Amino acid sequence: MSVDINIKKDLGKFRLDIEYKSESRRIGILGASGSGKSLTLKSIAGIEKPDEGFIEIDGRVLFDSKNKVNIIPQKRKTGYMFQSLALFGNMSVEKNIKAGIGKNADEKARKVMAKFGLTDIADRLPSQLSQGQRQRTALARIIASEPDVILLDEPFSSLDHYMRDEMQTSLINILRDFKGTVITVSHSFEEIYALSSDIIVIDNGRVCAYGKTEDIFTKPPDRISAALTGCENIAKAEYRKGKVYIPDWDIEFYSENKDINYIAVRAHSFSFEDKGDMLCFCVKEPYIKKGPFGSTVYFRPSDKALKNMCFKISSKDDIPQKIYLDKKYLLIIS
Amino acid sequence: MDWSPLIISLKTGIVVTALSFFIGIWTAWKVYGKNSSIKCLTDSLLTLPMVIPPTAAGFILLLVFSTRRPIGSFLLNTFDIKVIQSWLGCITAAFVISFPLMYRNARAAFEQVDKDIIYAARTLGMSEYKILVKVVIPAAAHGLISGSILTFARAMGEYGATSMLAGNISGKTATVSQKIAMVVQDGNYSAAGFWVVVVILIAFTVILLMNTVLSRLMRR
Repeated sequence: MSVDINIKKDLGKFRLDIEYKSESRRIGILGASGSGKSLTLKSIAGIEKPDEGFIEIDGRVLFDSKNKVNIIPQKRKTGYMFQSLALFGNMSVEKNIKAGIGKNADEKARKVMAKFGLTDIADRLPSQLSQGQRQRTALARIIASEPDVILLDEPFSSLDHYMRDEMQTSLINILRDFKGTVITVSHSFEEIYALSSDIIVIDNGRVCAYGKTEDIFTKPPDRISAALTGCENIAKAEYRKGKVYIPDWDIEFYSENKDINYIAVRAHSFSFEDKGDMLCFCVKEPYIKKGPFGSTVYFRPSDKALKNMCFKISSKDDIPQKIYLDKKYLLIIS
Repeated sequence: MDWSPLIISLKTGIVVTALSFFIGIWTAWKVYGKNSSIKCLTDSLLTLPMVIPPTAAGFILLLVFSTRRPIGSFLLNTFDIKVIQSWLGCITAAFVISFPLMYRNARAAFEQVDKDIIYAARTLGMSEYKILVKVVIPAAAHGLISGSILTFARAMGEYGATSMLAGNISGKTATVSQKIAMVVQDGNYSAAGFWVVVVILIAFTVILLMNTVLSRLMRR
């Protein structure tokens, strides 16, 4: 088992209760702010101590409250990339990288700096670096410390949008060579999707869904997962005499599946032409939120609808009067 | 001209600052990781000498170190150490009074350090000692330097507790502060004025030094 976590921590107003097992070595934890994802990561690193439970990664028990095992952070061999990057401000790039190396620090630091393109800026202090260089230094420092596990806490949140793609690509390349487990925490489904083969969705301190990344994105098992994986249209559904009725949108359709609680539709799933046996939505009272490479149109699907829906159009398109949805894109949440 | 009060004051100031610096940082670091109730209790206890009147602190020290009492007589008989009416008394009194300044400044400075850098250092495998020396102290340098300078200034100017514990023995325990009190009592206002000018000059130099060092640190 690559990861086996079962931890509980009571912080008064907030209670963390996480149970998760996986064979995957690329795991993503997706959750909204304050859902407990960083607390989970910090518990793995030994920065936070759970009240009770068990943490095992790649066969090493890091924490076991029953057997009074609580390995200190220094011995856990977890490389933690903080959102703030946590570089030592008084140390140069080279000294930051050497901080986590035991023997042969000079040689190892030289190799890592060359790999990360930091050789020319080895003598600079973190305050003299660009955000991208700081990010590379933080990652180089982790790799140089030769961890068994890498924990990435919102790894790109401090970057400008244009830097994000570049860093994401370079991070994926670097992590390709890393044989250990990588656990990424983020509220961004795009980051999680890019970096993880398995994901855990956390809400209010609890695991609400887990599985293969593709599966969770294709068929979110619950409302929270649908929302966190970027599903724009989610509404409560009722089953009535062979039909599913969605009060918020005032639409209904035939279904054999009685076990429906919510319906979710991604904004890019709609089509502008009826290809047969498709659900039709009237676009009433539309308003457009412009984007540089396409816009989002919010509309009322019927006069009786209680909530708006939305779909994507390219900047060249006019707003259609009707849009269509292939039923296979209806995400049924039971 | 007898410069001994200045030399005694400077010597006391330097020794007390050095002691307070290391012990203050060590204590503040030990308290740093503890839970809030322990922090609260330790803070209250260690700040007490700064809050009570120095003469009250001096009286307690006198009771503790009097050679007619257990601790004082034990120190004298076993180690031949006499705290009362000695330079060691000057140091003890000045340390007790000025140590809280160093401790509180160090505690406040540590609290200001970004916790993530301490956590990062731990996950990188750095020992707690190495984290303190290489990461926390440099990051908290600002507060530690102002703490040291204030401690030095307080130790230099200590009067109440020192006069109770160490007495006012010329050339041995008479500090500048005690000298001023003594010469004023004798009606020698010109001598008092001279020592006051000396004290003002030292205080000014200390504040100037503090501001220079801090503004340099701020620029970094």
